[in-house]
Amino acid sequence: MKKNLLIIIFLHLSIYLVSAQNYFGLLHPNQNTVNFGINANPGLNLNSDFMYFLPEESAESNLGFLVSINVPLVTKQGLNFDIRYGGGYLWTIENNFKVICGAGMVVSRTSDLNGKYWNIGFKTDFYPGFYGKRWAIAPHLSWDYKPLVHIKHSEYAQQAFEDLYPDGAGKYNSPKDGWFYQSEYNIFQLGLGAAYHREKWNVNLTAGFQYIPNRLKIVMLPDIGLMPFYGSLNFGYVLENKP
Amino acid sequence: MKNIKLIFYLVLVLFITGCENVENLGNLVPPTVDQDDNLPSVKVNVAGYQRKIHVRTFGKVGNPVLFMLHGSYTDTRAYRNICEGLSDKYHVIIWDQRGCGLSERITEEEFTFESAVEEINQMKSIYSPTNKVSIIGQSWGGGLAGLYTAYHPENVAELVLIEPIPLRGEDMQKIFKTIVEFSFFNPTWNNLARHSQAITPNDHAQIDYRAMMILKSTMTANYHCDGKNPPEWKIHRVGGFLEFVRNKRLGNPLSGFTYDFAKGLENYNTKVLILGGSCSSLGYNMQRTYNEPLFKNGEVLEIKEAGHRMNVEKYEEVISVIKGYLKEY
Repeated sequence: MKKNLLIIIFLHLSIYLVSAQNYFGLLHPNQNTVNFGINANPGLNLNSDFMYFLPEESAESNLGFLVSINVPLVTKQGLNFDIRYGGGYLWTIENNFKVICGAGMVVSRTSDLNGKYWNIGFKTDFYPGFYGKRWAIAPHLSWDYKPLVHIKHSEYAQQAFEDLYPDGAGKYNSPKDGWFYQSEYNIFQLGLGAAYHREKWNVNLTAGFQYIPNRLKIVMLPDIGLMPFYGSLNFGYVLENKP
Repeated sequence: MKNIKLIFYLVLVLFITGCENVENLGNLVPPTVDQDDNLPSVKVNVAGYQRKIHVRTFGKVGNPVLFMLHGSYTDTRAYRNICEGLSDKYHVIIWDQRGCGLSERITEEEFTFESAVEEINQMKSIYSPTNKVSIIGQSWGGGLAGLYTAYHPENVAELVLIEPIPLRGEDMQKIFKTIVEFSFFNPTWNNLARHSQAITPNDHAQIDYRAMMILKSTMTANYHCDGKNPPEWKIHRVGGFLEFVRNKRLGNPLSGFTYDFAKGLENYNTKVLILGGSCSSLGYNMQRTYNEPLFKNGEVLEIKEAGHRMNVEKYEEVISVIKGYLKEY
């Protein structure tokens, strides 16, 4: 009963998804792993992930529950983090051709000169490719979707609305705070992932191109931090072997 | 259990449908003149499009007309002090260039160097159709003032350039590294990059909102005397998309800067005043080395302990030397 409840909760959470989660813990089936790494999207971040395998009595488990935390490596402004939770599954198609499928929900907090933001969204990741005894190499595809954002504008952002009207009379006197939806929030990533794994540890690298669809067709504007790439380098370590 | 799930999804749907779209007018950045009739505007026809321009005027109609041209990643707001300071003798006209500030946003094809010159001609036809105009331009606005003068020397009575960009792309190529320090470890750049995790750069308002932060970025620390704490610079809206297009037109350090705003300046014989701050990478030394030689009769004056935003940090000195140059004083 308890196990079924856990599975229901896990599957429920997996409907939602996340960013820069490390699913290579799945290379150590049925073994809980912890992972540390650095990633760029394109801002630099540190991430840590914990992958927990649900108890399996008979067969080897390829289904792991993942919790991650991601924090900017260098930041000037306030508190920034992403907490992610979800799950991953290593699906064997045929022999060494397998697919890592990951899905998770993300809760993000961002703070910058313009304001403070809370985001809720999800991300899916796929790594279909070769998974050998020591090496894994696979293309990486992901979709990041964050439809909800809460904004608390800073004084700086509010100042933009001051002295707007020559006679002081006008409708727009400050930006709006509160919850908003942004239904067209999408980030797509296409890259390559590779991992080297031994019994107790793995090192993995993923890098590629990132595209944020927008109506203005801007692919890159480095001045404001828009660059079309991402990458991550991680080290995973097996904490315990499940019986 | 079934009922609890139903209530959960019902609450979720009500919550989402109760939220506003982040793109709605006024949620992130102020409206533009085409979106709010309470803002003062004029209409111009440039590059085949009629657009509304946000304009402010200072001083008496009938006084000699003076145009003030703003820089990039900004609008006219921070220049109002100069305009007020000269309004006793001039009819000062300042406007947000197409796509910037409170002016109507434009498409990519509408912005070229030629169309930027045509925009000034349109404003001249409205405010000073028969007489020459005096022009003050800062940074990009200084470059544009130079370009306009090169195209139409017969229209320019007086010319003041406050730390203009290098008027030739080849010179920009030489000094680019001294004016912009790009590093993946720069904290303000990382904050800008992280903004994508909060608000998608899906359309104009989101890009404008994000671009506003660059005014406090330390990537351009070399513009200022205290690069970590740049002087306050007030704006209403940065035209993020326009900056994207302008960057394309100007070029970049990898592919090269190929523009030339100096061709034709040899036909302008009037004295030109160029101001350069003592701290700025676009300051006195740069102006002396690269821009002054392009004019027949150019003079560079140094504003001590001033950076690129000298009109706000050293207003008294700046207005004083400008008045010392302008014929009406």
